[in-house]
Amino acid sequence: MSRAAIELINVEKVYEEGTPAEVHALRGIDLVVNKGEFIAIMGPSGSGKTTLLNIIGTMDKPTRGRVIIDGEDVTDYSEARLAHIRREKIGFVFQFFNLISTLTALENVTLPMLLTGKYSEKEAREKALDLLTLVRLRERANHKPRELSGGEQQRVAIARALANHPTFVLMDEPTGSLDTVTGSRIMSLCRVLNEKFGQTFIVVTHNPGVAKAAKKIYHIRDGKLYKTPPEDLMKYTWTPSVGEKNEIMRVYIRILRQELNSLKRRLTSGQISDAEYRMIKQRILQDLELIRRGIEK
Amino acid sequence: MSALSVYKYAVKFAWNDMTSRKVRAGLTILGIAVGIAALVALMSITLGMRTQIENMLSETLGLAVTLSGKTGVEVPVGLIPAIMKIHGVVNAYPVIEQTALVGSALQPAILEGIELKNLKDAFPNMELKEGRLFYEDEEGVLITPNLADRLGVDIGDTIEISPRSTGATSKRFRVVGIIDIGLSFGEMGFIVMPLSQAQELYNRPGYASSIVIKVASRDLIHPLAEALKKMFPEARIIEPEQIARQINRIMDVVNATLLSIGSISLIVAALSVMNTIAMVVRERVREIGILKAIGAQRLHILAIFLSEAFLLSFIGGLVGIAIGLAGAHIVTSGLIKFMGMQLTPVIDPVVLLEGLIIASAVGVVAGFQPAWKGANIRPIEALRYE
Repeated sequence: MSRAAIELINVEKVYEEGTPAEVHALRGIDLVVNKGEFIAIMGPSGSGKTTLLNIIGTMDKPTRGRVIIDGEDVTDYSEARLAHIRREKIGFVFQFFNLISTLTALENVTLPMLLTGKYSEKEAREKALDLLTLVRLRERANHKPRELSGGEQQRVAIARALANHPTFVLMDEPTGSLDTVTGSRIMSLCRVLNEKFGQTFIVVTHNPGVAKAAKKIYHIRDGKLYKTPPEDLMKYTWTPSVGEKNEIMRVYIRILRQELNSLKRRLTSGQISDAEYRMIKQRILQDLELIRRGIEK
Repeated sequence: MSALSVYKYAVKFAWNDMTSRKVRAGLTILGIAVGIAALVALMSITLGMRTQIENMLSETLGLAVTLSGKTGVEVPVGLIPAIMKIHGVVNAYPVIEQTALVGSALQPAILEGIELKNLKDAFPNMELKEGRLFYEDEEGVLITPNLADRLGVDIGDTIEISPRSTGATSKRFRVVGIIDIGLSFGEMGFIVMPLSQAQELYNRPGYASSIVIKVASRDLIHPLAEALKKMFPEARIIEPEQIARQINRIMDVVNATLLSIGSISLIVAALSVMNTIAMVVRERVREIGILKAIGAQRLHILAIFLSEAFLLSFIGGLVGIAIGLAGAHIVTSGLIKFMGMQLTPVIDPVVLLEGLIIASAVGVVAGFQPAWKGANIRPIEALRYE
């Protein structure tokens, strides 16, 4: 038995490789999550967060690098074998529409167990009821998702994620559609499950509050993983160079000149009065004067 | 066991989806139902027609083979003893059956010359309305009421009959009885006279136009016909089966035509199932993603959508059968009422079962393409979909 729940070795993901639209979503990610850990991966949108989540969840394959789940290198597995890995080793919790709307809470939790073929329907139902008790939703077992609140739905999703005793639970913005109080209750539940049952959690979020529930936080920026928040990358420079500034002004002067020309045409064709013409011309000339002085500096 | 319960969930999923979209499911079911109803109604009606015709045929022809010449009255009656010796033959008698012209207006009619003792056998449904039957060798005839009306004659009157044959001249006969023979040859009248008189009229004593040969059972008919063909290669041998086969062939064409019209509505129904399943798949893309994320295989997803296609079309088939049976009765009662036809639709359980199988098959086949598309959506694409 491997100590690591999941191991990513120099994982790269390039979309549209070899075309002008080439995008490097992940640039050499190394990550080891040991069993019993509770980690969060934080990053803004466009950081490669979703791509990383999909690769950890075996729903996407890396362009280069290896993905090892519970000691098993799954990088080159077929879709059918990956489906097997997903139902045996990974529990998923998503942000939206987490549950199958046509099935009850109990049936939603039962389903992953039935998919493994390891449980009889009766056994699966009994275990599902226990799991719903664990997330304190037993009395809502026979409700359809639309009859449950957002927080309740998310708790059902956690119960479902735990159904096959996964190597790790992978959560994608688990509180994204919940209010702060409900969200923190959900994260507390995860924290308890981690501390009392040693369940491994990997949470992907952009929310620092959610990440706080984790014991270890990673940060992702431009396809790279950092252990400390990369402050330097957060800083944007607001002062343009002299060349940039002069270019902007030159274009602006051209625009103002064109405006003067059209103003003259409107005067000669009688669309505006002489007084109006002089007033607007005065204003444009003032703007021009201001810009010229700026360039000279 | 648990593999089965996954599919039970697929059916549950499909059923819940249908009941959550009642109008759409209802319309799709109706689409299938209309197609199946058309097929079931058409099949029941044509089956009814076929049965009707078969009954008429076996009543008229019975267990008999007819041996006749090419045209006219040219079969020697003297053949009968030889024919009687053939295996299985129980009776054989000569008849003259020709068309003749009657009265001063030369009305066409069917003339039947037959010995009195064979009258009952040749016309099992004959009914004497007025007068009496003829005596053997009497210059008396029996005519049908429509001919009597047309000619304006009654019992005791005489009618002039011209054989449509060279070397024969017309002759007057006395009407001794009015008969209903239980058969209709359209507007054509029917004249029955003693065989000897007919032979005299056609100037062919000792000859008949055909010999009716009776056998003990149905399976003897064909061997007899074959034996006769060998014995009399010149003659025309007519088996009732042959006629039945001819009529069956015509009915097959009618059937095929009606079915191809009916199947157009099935094609429309198939398209509506396809459309519905495509819509269901689109609505469920996100859920396909979740199912795949929790480890569902392509086959599981396929099972969900095919179950829905099957349920829709199976229910459609059941509804269609009910509508089709009702429709067949309405159509036939209309035909009976307005056109005087004798027709009862025949409900064949095989046809009903076929209707159900066709409906389900059409639905599943039509639903397969969108279902397959849904099953093959990659999980990340499905989860990105909102």
